[in-house]
Amino acid sequence: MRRLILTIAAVALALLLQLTTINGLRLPGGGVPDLVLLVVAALGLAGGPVRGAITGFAAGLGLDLAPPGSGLLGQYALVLCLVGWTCGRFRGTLARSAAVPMLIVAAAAVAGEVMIAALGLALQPAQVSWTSVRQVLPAGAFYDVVASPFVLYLVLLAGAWLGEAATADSGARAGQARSLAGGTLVGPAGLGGPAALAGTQGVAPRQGLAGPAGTAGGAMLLGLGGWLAGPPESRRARRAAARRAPKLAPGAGRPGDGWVGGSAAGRARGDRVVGGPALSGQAWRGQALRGQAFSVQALRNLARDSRPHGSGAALRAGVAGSAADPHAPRTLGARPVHLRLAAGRKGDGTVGNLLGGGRSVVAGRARRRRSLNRNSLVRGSLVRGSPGGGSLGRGALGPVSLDGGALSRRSMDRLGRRRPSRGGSFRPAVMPGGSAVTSAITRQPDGGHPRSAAPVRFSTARSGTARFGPGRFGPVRFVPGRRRDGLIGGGVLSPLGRSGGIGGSGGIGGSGRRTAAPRFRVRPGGSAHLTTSGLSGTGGAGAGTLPSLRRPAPQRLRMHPRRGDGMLGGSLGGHGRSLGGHGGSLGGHGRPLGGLRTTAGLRGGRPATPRFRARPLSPGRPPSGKRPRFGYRRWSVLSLLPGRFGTRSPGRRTVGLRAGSTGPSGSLARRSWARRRWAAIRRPGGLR
Amino acid sequence: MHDSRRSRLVLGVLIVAALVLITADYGAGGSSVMNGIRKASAAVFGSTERLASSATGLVGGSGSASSGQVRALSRQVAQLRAQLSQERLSKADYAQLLRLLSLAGLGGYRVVAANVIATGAGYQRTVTLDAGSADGVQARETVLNGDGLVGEVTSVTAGTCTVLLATDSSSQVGVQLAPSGQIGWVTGPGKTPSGTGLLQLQVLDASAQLTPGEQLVTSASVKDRPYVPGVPVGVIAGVVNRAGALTARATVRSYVNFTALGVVGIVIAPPRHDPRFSVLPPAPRARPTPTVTVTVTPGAGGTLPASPSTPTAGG
Repeated sequence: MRRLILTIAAVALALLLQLTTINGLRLPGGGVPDLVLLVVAALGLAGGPVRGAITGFAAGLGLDLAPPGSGLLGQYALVLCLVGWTCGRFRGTLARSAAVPMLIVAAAAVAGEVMIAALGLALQPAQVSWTSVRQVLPAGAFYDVVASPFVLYLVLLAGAWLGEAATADSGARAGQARSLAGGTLVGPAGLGGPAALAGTQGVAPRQGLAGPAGTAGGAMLLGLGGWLAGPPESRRARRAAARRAPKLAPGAGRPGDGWVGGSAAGRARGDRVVGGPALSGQAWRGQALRGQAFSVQALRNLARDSRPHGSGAALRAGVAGSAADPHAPRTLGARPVHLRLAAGRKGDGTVGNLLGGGRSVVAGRARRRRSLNRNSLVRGSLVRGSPGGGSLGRGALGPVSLDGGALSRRSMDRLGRRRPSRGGSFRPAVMPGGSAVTSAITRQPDGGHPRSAAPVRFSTARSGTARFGPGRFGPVRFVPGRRRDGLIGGGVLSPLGRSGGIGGSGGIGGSGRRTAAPRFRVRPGGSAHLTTSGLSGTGGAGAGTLPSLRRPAPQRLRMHPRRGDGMLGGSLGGHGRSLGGHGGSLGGHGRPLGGLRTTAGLRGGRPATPRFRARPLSPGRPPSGKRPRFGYRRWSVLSLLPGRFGTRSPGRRTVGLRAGSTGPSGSLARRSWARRRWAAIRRPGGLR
Repeated sequence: MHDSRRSRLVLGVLIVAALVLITADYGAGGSSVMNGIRKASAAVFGSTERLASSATGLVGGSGSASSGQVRALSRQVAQLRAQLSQERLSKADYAQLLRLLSLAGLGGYRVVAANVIATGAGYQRTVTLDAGSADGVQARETVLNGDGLVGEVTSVTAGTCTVLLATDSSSQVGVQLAPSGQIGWVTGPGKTPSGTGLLQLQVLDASAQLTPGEQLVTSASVKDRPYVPGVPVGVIAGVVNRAGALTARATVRSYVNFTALGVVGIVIAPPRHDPRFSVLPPAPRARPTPTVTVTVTPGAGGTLPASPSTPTAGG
């Protein structure tokens, strides 16, 4: 709503200014800046393609209809609609860079001017003459380019201001999130060893892995990129972080947002501050990772037993990842969670993993559970099968070794040979670090024969199927899968209402040779507590964390901020139960996972509805010869330039990170690793 | 890239909608539906523009002050400054109005004075005035200011009207040359870098002798719509030589400064008698241009003594 008001106000203001003042200006060259065009481009960039298109259409119609407009009705609507949509498609850049959005807006403005002129020439040859276009267009485009950064800045600023005014304490929340991420959870006592997410700015983690508290920046609101907050680190560092880190663009808060990574119980204990010790791996493993349900009582005990601590992680209800929110909402909404797999593509990898409920009991799946337990693979992290055809529960177990020590290779191999009784097969995969095991139970979409080589597919679970945990989770929907569609790996985790527990397993495991490439979009609602663990495939197998799977493809998660988006939680270390999930993402061989961005998009006590889409990177060409298309195309104008600007090559970026192999600044090592891996893949026999 | 089926669907729908609008507007020409839409929206937008343009005149500075007294004083300063700029504005408006009325009185036009409140975007040269059908303005009426012809009213709402300026490339004005009485027409240059380009004059008589400095007035249209007779248009700035052309051509510098339109008048009743050339400003007299001739006589010793010679007046 607030956004709508902002959009309408901005467009109306631009229209009036344009018509009454700017068009009457007499500037050298004869052209004037097209403020409406620029505002539409900026709003599109901030709001996404749909909103951009609609905004552009409305603004263009306004220009067509407002009194002096004597052109054909719909002319500007067409052009501005296209401009808004195109800019919206580049929305992600807003969170990643400062220069690129400006370039995009400038380019969109120039393109819009050209389109306007071309349409005029084509449709109204009497009014628009080629000579006047030739003489005036360059000046107009020039003024547009000059004015575009300011317009963009103002639009973003207005968005930030509105959002800030709405949430008021969002900055504090973000700060808490950072402090938690940077401080408390780091270290052996925290989750997953020395791993934490860097601050919300996408900064390169300093001091090993942790972005120190209060690195920089403010809350990211309304799709506002971090650049408004100023450069927190050097450009190189930011770039490095951008390459390395999962990309979570900020979500925009909506009314009805709730908590991600929160839990009712944690919120109930909102005022309790739990110190670091309580979060120690011991307690954690003992209570959550072992699969014993993290009951409300346990959580309360945890909270009670803890004392305020210097750098205490506050186990309060909080913003995702903040674990400390002074203004805890009272209630959780009851909206269901919708998980959708984004449309898979050819070449997408498989993910053997767990959409995890944290409950030790898998309802109605005793057999499966038994077998898993026997192998000491999963304790308490099973997905409960859905009543509605739930391929999730049955087909896609991602058993994870929850014992920090992980399985030996032998046991892993044993697992690999073992076929579960029905419907799937284990395929062990070794992490490069060798400490963890994953396996995926694959299942045919039709519920048919097990096929060991088949990737896990969730294509059957289309509608409202899987149900996580006892009752608090809504349906999980998958869009129809396609060849080599991935699973949602570990990304979704349920704190499970009352029984607590950990969700998300670490990372995304590849099965077989295929690397994981899930693209999913989580569209949770209501009470969902989503934590995205296992981002970028780290899925760390650190002490006390969930083990990582076979080195998965680094994955980029992007948020699609939309109205009502909540927080991408978890990853910054949530509170309460969702901490379990973070084990997966935070841990991992000391590999940094910097730069998760969360948004403080929450407003008082409303349920969270983050939606994000993960888009993993490919570590290389898969052996099938088909090039996976999930590569993240990072194209920048700067990359066209020579010299120090041109260090990034346009095109597909394949960042393959070996877990634990590189430090925070090891881009060179990473590259050479990627090269080696590439060579390994191309060898006959492929990657072992 | 944030792309999805939904966004593409939305884009597709909107594009189709825009194309439908364009097609409907293009094909219908001046159909009633489109006109109705335009009129309704113009009524809404026009009133807003009116308010906005009256607000833009009041631009005053304001500083930040700490103490209450300073704040009060600075507010006062801002108010006074706004007052002053308003005064200045109205002074300029007054001057323009005065000239407009004198011109209208000279020609015997009954005019409704109006202010320009909005300028069209894109390549059309259109403006919106704050007078509408409530003031007696109708479509296809002449718009002029104190200097001469501004344009033609193309559409009218209750409170506003839209004027197609004479510089728009789709505007054609029938004119008469001042001394000779030759008949022709003037088309606008469209949008130009300078804002006010030269109008293009074509005279029906291919053998007409056009000379720079000749003045143009509008010749009467049928039933004085859209152009009433006798309104000054401009002076011939240059003659375009085009041998074998069917019409004689020239470029015309308009009397009106189209980039600084303020107070204009809409002629709501034509003059009883054709004012002919009586409204024209006094024709520019040809001023003598001094010519300097330098005669060089080769002298002895290889030097070239230059001797300034007599200036002769010509012209």
